[in-house]
Amino acid sequence: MAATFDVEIDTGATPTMASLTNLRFNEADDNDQDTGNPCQIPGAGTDYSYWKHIYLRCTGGTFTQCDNFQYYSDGAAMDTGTLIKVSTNEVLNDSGYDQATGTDEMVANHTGVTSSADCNNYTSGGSKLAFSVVPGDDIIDTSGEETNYLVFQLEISSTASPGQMTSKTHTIQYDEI
Amino acid sequence: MKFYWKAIYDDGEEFPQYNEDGSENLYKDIKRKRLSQFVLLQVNTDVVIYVLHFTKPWQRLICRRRIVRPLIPMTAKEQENLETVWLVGQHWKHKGQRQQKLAFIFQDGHIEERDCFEEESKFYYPCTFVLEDELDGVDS
Repeated sequence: MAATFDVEIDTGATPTMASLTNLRFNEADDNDQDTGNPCQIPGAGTDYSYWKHIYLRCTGGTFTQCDNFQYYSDGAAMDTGTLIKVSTNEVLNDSGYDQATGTDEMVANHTGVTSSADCNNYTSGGSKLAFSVVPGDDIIDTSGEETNYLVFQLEISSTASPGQMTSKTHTIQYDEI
Repeated sequence: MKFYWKAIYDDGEEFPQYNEDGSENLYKDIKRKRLSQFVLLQVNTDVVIYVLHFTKPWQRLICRRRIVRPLIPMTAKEQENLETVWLVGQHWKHKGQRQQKLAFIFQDGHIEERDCFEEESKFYYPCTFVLEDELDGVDS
């Protein structure tokens, strides 16, 4: 049987792991799928959502190992005035975790994020964003092992429109043997 | 279409991914230096899809299942049906340079062959070579 993975989100001070149901950007350190704590459209300049720590955790299967994890988005144009940023350096799981406590831009304020990019820079037929697994042997070869974090954040400028954004598809590719 | 593999050694012995009792053998346990053929077969029908022959002592196996997974919750059952492309090939060293012969086998059964990886592509990008893939100093 192939390896199986859960998509997880870490929140809270400790942090606490939960299965990601949907990546909703808001102004809270949570995984809620309600309309609470919506992002604010700034009068001028840019504002940000709370950042979100996402990763894969192996839940089972018969396999030798999984590696070569790559991320990409659907590349579709975002709604006006919005941009989803993704961390582009390795953010170590759990040691690189930094709880979201405000609407701060992640490169300037997250202790584990040193660079980020528009998620649309990464597409299926173009460049993909490689990310690794928890340090050690750099592979996932048993249940319970995890990848490093992909940290996401929504950037909102004054030209954005109120309401729910168009949904976006994010994809992971990996090799299994 | 879903596939599984079978290794055939130089003395005719077979080492299949799935044993008759349903247990599964691992890629890391394939005896690479004894490989004569690496065969990909279709699950349920056992129809042979692709056969890779090893005719030179310096040729070494590469095999990966390249899996595409949306970043959303999925059941184990749903994960069994993810878009998957098999990478089956061999590599060797020639004058110190790693060379490859690669086949990408898609779920619809079509096969694309290449002689190198390609960074910016959906499926042809390089794999990470692991211990089981390592060339052991033999140069063609």
